[in-house]
Amino acid sequence: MNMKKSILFVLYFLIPAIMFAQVAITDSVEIKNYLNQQLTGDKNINTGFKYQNLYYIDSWCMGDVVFSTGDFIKQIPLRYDCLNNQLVWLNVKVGQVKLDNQNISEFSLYDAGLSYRFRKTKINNSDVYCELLFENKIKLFAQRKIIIGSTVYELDAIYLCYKRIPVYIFEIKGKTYFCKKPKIKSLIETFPQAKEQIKQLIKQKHLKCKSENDFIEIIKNCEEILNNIV
Amino acid sequence: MYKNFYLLVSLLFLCQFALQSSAQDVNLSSKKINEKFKNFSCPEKVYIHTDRDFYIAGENMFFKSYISGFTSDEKQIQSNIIYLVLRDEKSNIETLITYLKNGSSSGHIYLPDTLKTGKYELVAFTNFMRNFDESCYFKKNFLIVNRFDKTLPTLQFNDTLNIEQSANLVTNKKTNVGALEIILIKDSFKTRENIKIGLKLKTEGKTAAIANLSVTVKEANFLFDNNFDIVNLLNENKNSVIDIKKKKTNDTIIDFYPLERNGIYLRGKIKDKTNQQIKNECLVLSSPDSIANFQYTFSDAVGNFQFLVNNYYLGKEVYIKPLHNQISNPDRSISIEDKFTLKESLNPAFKVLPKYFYNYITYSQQIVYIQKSYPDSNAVNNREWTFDKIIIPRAYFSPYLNYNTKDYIQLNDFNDIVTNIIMRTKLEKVKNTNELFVFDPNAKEYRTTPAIIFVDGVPIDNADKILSFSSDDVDKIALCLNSRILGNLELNGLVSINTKKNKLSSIVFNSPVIKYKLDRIADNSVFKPTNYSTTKIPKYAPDFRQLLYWNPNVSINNNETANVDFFASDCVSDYVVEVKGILTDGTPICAYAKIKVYR
Repeated sequence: MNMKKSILFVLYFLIPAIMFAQVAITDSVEIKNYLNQQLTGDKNINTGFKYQNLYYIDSWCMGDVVFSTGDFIKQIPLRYDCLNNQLVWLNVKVGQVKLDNQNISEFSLYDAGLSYRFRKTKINNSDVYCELLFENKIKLFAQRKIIIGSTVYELDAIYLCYKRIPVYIFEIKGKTYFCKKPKIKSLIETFPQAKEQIKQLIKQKHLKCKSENDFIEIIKNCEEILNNIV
Repeated sequence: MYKNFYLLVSLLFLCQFALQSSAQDVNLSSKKINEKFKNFSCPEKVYIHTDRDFYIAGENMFFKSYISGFTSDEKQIQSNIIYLVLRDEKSNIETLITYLKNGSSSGHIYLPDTLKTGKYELVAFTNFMRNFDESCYFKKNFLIVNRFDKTLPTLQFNDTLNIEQSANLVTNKKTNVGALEIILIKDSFKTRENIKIGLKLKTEGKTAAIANLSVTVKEANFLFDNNFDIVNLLNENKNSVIDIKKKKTNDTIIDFYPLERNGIYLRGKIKDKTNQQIKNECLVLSSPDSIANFQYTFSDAVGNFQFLVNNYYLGKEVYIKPLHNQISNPDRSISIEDKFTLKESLNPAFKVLPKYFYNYITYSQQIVYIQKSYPDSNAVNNREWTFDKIIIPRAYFSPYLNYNTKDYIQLNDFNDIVTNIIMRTKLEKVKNTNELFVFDPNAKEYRTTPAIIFVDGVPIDNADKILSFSSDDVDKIALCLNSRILGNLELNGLVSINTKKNKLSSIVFNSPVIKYKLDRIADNSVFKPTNYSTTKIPKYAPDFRQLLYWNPNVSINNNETANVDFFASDCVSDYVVEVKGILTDGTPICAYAKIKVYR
């Protein structure tokens, strides 16, 4: 009983002493404010056209921006213009700002509880933001490419209608492979040397490819096969 | 009785806990930090390992810097920039910035031939350490002797310490400290013989430990042995008290020196003729370049401003000036804080030198004189610092229009250039100054606020300064019509002019401008030891190196042995092997040994 009391007695003094030792150091030893990396860009100019489905997510949503130095800015209103490969920031003071792509390496958009991560990727010697769908030994990106489908003339405006044609990009051991559609047939066309192995695996695991999410699931399962054939 | 006692103890505990909680609940805004650090010792420590303690002017001082960080928010953090000052009793001789990678960095300081004989001090500190008094700075005394000073009148010699007593100090240091062991197969070597030394790391309970070490093998001069060990210094806990004399008001820029991890903080003050501080002034920092570049900041309520300087500006001359020229308030001045100013004066560790050292100095002078006569004597391999990721703070990326004056006929002044070459711009007189306005393609009219003009990368006051520019002076002109947004700053059009003959230097600014050279970064130089196995050096060519070996980058895994090998010189003497470093967890380690070189 006395032993217990002695231990308690020691603990009474030790716990506050340990806690007090941490007071001297704080997490505020660095200044994170306007002195750090800033978002730069041009004020967005309205060209007079009206757009339909120009953006990856049509409404403004909160997002994070990562600079090529590793610095980041969190929780700012963003929108990704898929046609012009342009990230747009809604600045409360000046309005829409087309951000300089040169400094940005990555950004994320948060919408309806989901997050979409875009990373700058080299495609045909130009930097394009591609959505990162899967990352492990191999990386799967989706270039959210859109093209002008039709032009609608109305009394008060000209509407440009767009057509979404995503391109899927595999990055395996530093090499890039393109897949046109999220289909098994396209996957086999991209990796003809793994045709049998992919077919066998899909059969074994009873996988179906009806949507983009199913396609990602298949890629996750085929990761080892794809990594080994390259 | 016991019940009451424990009740009392419990109450005490609760009181202390309540106090503790309230202390932690304080919103640790930067203004509060000074108070927070009051009465606490500096948690960050710096140590500089130098190749030697005594130099002849004209030699190189090699160094390796170590830092021991501290825990904050359950993360191990530390500064990545160390400031180095080499000073004599009167002034600073050399000031350098060294960038750390994984808690250490290395380089060298060239000691100019013109240095006078005397006592010198190497001071090292971080920006964060400036929150505390200078007693927490790293300070090491050196004796530097001019090669041509034969009489040494500034030094005092005495017989109080004989050579045997001094030698004992070094002999006693032979013991290995901590987990590091120096393995010597033999301790006597012939001149120019290959010397191999093993370094073994054995730490118990730290299986994944890796030692980051610096090794020096130098002639034993038995002069300084002031217990100046990495183990003592990085582990010590001096009670340095923060200097809180600085004025604190609610709207001032923090009287707090932040931890520098990604760049250097540069502070200054802007005030007018009557010493009145100027608040909310937008100040820009820019460097002459072919790219229009700048960083900006705003002055606070008492005129203080602070830049987190982009690494792109390091080692360059920068212009710091207000962005807009205020004609109503022309008599303004800008001052920049000198980080290298030290409050405490040099306090030499040695006042009187032992008499035998007089002979050692003259002997060293002769050696350096001989070594300097041979091309290999300056054994330095310079490696410039390169930063992996630098974002140049460009004013713009893609201009709306680009003009090359060589494509046009010769024009006599800038007004002609505007009229004939640069479309969508106009020159107008506003309050006795000429301003350049650009066309707004969105509003389809000229902007009402003047464009920012850059000459050779630096923003200037107004178009007055460029009116005399003819097309022979101008190389290229870039024009941005859109509003540029840089953080919270909006610029209504930009015109960037690159001149052929550095016309920026001839521009006289109306607004206060300070030209400031950001101190040079210590290069990542390494010592190049003489290698007799690869280089054919004739026997008659003298090699009297007193420094046999210096390697600041030796790494050993736990329970492994690293070998260092080098060649002895013709200098017959006793040598000290000194190994210092830190483990991955920041634990300092060191080891010493003595070797002999005979003929």
